[in-house]
Amino acid sequence: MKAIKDLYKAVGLPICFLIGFFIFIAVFGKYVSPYDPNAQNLLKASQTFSAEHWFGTDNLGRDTLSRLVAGARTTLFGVTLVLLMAGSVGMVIGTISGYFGGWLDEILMRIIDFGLSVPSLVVALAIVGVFGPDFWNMILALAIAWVPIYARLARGVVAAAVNQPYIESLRVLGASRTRIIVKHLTPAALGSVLIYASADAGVLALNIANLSFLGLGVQPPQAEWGQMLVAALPYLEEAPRLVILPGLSLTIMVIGFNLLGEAIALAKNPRPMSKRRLFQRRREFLKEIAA
Amino acid sequence: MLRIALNRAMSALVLVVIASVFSFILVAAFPGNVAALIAELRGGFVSQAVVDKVAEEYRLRDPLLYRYGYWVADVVHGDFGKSLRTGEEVSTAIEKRLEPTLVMIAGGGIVMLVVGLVLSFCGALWPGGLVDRFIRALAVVNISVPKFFLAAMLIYAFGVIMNLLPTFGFRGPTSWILPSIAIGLVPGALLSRVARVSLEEAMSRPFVITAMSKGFGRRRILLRDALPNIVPVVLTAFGMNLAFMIQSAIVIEPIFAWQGIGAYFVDAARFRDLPVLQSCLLLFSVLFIIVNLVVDLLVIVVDPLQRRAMRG
Repeated sequence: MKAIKDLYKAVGLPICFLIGFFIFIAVFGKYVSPYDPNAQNLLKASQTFSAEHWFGTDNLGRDTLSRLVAGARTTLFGVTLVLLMAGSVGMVIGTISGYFGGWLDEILMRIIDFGLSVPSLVVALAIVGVFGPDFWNMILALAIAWVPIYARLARGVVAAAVNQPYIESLRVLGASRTRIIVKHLTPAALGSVLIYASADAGVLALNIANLSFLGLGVQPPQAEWGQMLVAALPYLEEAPRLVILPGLSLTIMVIGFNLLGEAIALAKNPRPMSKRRLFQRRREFLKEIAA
Repeated sequence: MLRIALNRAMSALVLVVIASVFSFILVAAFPGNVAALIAELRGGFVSQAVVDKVAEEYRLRDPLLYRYGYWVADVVHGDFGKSLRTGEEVSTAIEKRLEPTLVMIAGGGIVMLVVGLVLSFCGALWPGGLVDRFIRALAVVNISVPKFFLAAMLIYAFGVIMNLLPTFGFRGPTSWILPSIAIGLVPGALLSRVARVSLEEAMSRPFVITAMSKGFGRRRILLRDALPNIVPVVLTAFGMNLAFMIQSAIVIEPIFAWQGIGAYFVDAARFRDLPVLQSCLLLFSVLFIIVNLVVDLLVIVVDPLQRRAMRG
């Protein structure tokens, strides 16, 4: 509970509201959205803003607002899945690598180095290409492409913790290897993995959209912002709102995630105080002493 | 200095080897019968005899290690195999498609450098002014804008509303402008932030105070004293962003209908064109590793402080 309160304090109300909004429409959007996102009505195709269809309809007469809401669901669902998969697998690899060390660590970290040195989208694209374009294959590909980041992160934490006195004493007390790893090292790694994941969600959302935009991720008719945008591109001249709205939704969501990540990073290691602030603080301090 | 350079080159070489193994395994681990898939893609009736023939041709029945050896030997000789879909040699296709990608990355690099340096310089010239605040406000927004959305908006603004620039195809210098902006704008904003911070740091050094006490103007100090100091930092950031542009090209090329390597990669992924996929993954990885290596080495050459530290 305290952790959540601290997090809230660090992040602040506007960002919480922004992200909460997207999570809300992703979870409850089904019940809130006025139309079925996939229901076509060719009689009402390509309409602009109206009371009936707030954001208009696309070329097949599907309600844009409902599709935007469904897109939030797709994106957040994908992001969550990828983070869960990449985070847990990365933590297992990182913990093993950091705990055992030696040649195993060396080999694993060389592979991880490669994963980190090549852009994730390139790796994900190749994996999707091998397995075929599909939502689940995209999730799998992104998860594989994202594992190295978390493995490296977890390994750093675990390798630093392994030689700490408290792990030494656990070993002396006769705690088994499994117990040390599961009860003492994993929780230590979990913290930094979670923090990084929250900052990483924005990048992931962008990459899900990238792959779907290229026709390699979410397949029509399922609504996803990148895929909606690419479907609307041919009508850019007549109906620019069909391109602008999904793009804007994605941008705002990613801004939310990035602000969240920045706030968390700042709370974890605060920026060194600027000179002006320092002088101000010193003056206040001197005043207090004088009083 | 040479030892450090060799060290970097060695680790880059290791990465290239891992890249080749990864590219190979990815396709070797293809789920299902590759021979049957290839036979199917060639069209016609797929009998066991045809499948056997394909397997023989692609040496699919040999042990994995041998196949890796054959593949590496071929690649080193410049033979990347043939596209399953078109039957075209992958190496000639890549050669043909290299030009648009290189033009896009070069154009993006120029845009990035101009945007980054102009913004950061104006920010440093009038600290706390409009440009300065703009850079800071943009910091989060620019990494959050999807590349394809930015490109679509550029097409809409310059192609549809103003009808100024061509938005489709790779046809002469005017058609290069929009893609270059689309790919270079966000890295430019990132670069401006890095350059602004290091300019500020350079402006708080003692030599700047000396120059001020001599009565030189702020612009002159910025250009002649502070600017040389930020070269290594800007170079590193520039190189890293340039390397990431290789990735952005994958997304931006299809929007502008450019037939570059990025579009080639995407097409291969769409049609499960395994040899092309393999070659593209290897090519992109190696390009990325090389650009990073070159940047690392350049920084050593450019930065006298690092050079001295290494010699000492």
